[in-house]
Amino acid sequence: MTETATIAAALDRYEVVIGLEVHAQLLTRSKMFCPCPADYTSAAPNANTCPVCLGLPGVLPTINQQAVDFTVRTALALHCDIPPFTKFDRKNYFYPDLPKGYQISQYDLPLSVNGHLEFPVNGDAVRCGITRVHLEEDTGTMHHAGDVLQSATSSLIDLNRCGVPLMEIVGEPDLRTPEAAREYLVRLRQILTYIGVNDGNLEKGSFRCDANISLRPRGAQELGVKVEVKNMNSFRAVQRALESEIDRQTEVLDAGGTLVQETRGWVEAQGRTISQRSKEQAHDYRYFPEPDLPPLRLDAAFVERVRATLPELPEARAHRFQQQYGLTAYDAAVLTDTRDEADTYEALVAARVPAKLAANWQSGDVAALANEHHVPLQHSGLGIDGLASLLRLVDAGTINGPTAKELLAELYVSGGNPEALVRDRGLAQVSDTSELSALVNAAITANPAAAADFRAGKQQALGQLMRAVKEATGGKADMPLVNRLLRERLLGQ
Amino acid sequence: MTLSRAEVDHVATLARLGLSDAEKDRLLGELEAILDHIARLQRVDTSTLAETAQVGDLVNVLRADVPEAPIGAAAALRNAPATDGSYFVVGAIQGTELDA
Amino acid sequence: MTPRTITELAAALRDGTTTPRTLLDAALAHVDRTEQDLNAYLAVTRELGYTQADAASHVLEEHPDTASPLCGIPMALKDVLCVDGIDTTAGSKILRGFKPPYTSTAVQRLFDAGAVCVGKTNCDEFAMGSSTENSAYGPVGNPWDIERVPGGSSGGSAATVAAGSVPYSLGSDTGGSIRQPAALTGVVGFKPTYGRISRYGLIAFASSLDQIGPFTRTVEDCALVYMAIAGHDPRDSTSDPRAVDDPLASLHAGVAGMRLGIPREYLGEGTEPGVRDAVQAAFRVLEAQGATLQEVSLPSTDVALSVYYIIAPAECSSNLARYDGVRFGSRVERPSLTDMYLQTRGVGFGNEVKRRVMLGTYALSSGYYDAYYRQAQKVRTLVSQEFEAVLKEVDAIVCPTSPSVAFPMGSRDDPLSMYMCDVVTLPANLAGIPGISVPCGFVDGLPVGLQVIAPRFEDARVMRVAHAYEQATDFHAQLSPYASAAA
Repeated sequence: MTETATIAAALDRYEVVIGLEVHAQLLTRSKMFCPCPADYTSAAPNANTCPVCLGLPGVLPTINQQAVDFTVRTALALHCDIPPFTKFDRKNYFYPDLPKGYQISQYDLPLSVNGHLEFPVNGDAVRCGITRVHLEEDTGTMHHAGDVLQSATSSLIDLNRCGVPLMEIVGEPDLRTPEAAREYLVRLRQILTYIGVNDGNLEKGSFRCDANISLRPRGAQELGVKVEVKNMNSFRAVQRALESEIDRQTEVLDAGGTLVQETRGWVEAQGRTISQRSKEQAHDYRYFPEPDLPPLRLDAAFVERVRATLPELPEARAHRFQQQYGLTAYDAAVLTDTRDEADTYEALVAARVPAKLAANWQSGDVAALANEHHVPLQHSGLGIDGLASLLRLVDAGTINGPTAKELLAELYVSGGNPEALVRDRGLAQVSDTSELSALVNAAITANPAAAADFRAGKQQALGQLMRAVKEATGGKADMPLVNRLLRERLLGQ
Repeated sequence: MTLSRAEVDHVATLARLGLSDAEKDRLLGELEAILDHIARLQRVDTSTLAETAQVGDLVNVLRADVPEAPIGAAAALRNAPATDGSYFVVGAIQGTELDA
Repeated sequence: MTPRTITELAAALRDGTTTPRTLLDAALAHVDRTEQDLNAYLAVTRELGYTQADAASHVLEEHPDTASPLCGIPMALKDVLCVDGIDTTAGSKILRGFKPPYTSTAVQRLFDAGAVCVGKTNCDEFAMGSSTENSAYGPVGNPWDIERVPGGSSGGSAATVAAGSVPYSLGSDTGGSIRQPAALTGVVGFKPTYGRISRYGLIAFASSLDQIGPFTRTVEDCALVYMAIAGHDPRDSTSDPRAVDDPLASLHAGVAGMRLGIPREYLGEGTEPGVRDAVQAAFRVLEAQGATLQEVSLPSTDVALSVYYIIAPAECSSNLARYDGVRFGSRVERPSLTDMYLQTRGVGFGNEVKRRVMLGTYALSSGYYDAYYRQAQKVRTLVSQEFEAVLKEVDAIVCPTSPSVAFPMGSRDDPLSMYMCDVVTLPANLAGIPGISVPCGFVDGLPVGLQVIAPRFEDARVMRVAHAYEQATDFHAQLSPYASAAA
């Protein structure tokens, strides 16, 4: 059986229960509890530190205001409640990447609770509850001599990342398929990048995901044994890892065996999960309220101020695009995939480019160029204004499609004024009917076989005649008009 | 109130304190005596009392998100017992380190 | 030449009869002579001191009128206070050789005022103890009788002032660690309102209880040091933004018309008769000064010690987790990380620290949190409420600082009996209210301390009552044998 078929069969017999936990680094300028820069990626090892994030004797934490704002902003985007009282707690455990021997996190009174995320999976609407969104600090990083923790004789510790603000988003175990899990993450990441709190980079580790998965026979009430899955560094990996787990767990359960409650790591190269440690003994983190930090009382006025900083969210914006610009659901989704895309589109429309035209070009040729050059439109030689100018020329019929495509490709890299270039190079479209009629007649005369084929019903024969006219105009003919004229001449329409 | 030797072992592991058997035996007695004294706390009716996590009435003490220069790697590593010049170095981390 | 107060020295520096260098020379010479007996210092900071003395000289020359009263005057710092580049051990082997890359806020404020640092003083390891016998570097001798303890945990800071080497020092107080040694060594020791003096740079023992405070010879000197270091610090989120009332403004107002309360539970059967007599004589002095004294009751006193010995160990068990041999301090090298942790902490920590870390870890652990930690935090509220109620009936509380005078070294080897030293000091830490100890008599030549306690932010009131008492007596002018011999 194929992988998909195996999963499908398993899903017939078992209900899969998936809950996702996301840790997202916040785009603040400084760290969570000290003023060190939050961007540590270009610093030499241990250079981006201070006594506070090093956990030296005598230091004290201070709460980053922006991190609180960002977390509340996220909570509001996820329809969460913001309780009026929240506090930080110490989560105590020993590990070399945790200098203080405790992580400042939130335990029983987090910043927000009780939200949800809705998203389509294969056309069906899925709603996943969000248990809580809370704030904590990131740990340092470690390199293990030989790269494999279990066999390394020594480990190297870099504390640059220590103390970076981390937002933890805990989803309810409402997801029922690996695909739904993937879509949840896609949508969540989209929202976080839209609202400007996270850069959504899974490879870099600024957006991390762990999954909890259990299986139970269809119809059973009790939840099955829960397995935690870690080390999935892409959305595809999440889906594959969960499918692999369903496979593994089904095999055990079908054979009448019992599963172990444990943590398993996804090994991309092997396409399977490997047991990391047994979770039979739950960690005793000895949580207690952080005595060095007074609590937070977030009143309604504060929440409304933060709510006012929320931009239009992707789903709402896509819906509006359909209504306001007459776009299809598909086109609207593409054009609102990121906030930059959506802003670009609306800037084009505001610059008098017709909605449909702007949509086609932006999601077609412009997207392809952005991909090819790894440069978004805003930073290209052309820019949004330049593209608007170019597309207005297309809309006015001043240049034809092929000319516009060529200009676009050239100006994307080198920049320049489209109107001036069209004028200076004489690129204006040939759309004079009498001029084109003469050329059409000449092309028919020069290609009698193609003309005859077309009259006989071979549609593709028209192409040869079209190309002939195009060449004769040096590529500037209004091709839809040429098409019409050819048909009129050949079929007498 | 009796503390067991097993509990002493467990707490010592949680606290990463390497204690000899003699130390653990001694601690068992000392901690039991202290816990016996502390047991009087249970007699206090606290049903109407909230916990004091901090004295005083401070709330919403926040720092503006303005970065400051870090102290740099040399200062960070200066007191390190073991370093390779760039990183802090520790020995083999067994899989069980994160248990308990 | 008797040891002079800050006020006297400030005048002498300005009228040219002495210089900062001269004062430092004298302080260092006195320390050298007495260290064998007292062991009050873990580090003598000669180089730093002379640099500061010279800088202070310039300031006094250029701006004698605006220079701080502390400018050019030698002082000492308890070795739980971080000073950039200077060994800071917290009295522990686990921090042997540790040189912080930064300076505590309170200390920096003293340095900015032109203070001259003579050295880092000996203390109970990580401030845990009531006798300084828990120092990993040997105990400190009480200048009144070097076979006896000076109290703790700030024993070194108390002893060096009592010995007359320096006119003031800084200590820290979590359950009485400034007030109790002040009482046992016959000097003034002050614990401010929690949040009044920044804890940034104070090596943490119990975060919700710790406060830095001064040891001085007089209450007026105490006010001067307090004003130099108190006030909001953005690096300490628990430091209070309220403006600091200058105690000097009300210092001489006297106690006429004030109501003072004597908690009956603070003069219980654990109080030595000599202490009781001295303190009751002090009450009569206050009455003669015009105060009305009345008995009050703090019924939770009986359980306050239990509350403290859950909360303080719980917080310390977490605060001391960073001592793991990875980034600083001493390490016992082992091939595996776990063994390194176990051995480093097993060897590096002393018995009292291990005891409290075990107790605290247990109180926070799964299954015990509600019964111990949560219950203690609730009873803590009760302790605060009782103080609040009593301090509405009376303006301040007066009582002994310690149930006993200085006891012989080694005489209290049972942990609980040692904990009892703090039974009337630790409640003020639980409630976060200010308290002071001032000398009020002697028992067989050993000092007794009178404690004054007031509501939160009434630090000035504490000093006002204490000053009134002090000026009506001459106990503060009595000198220990080491101070009398100062030349």
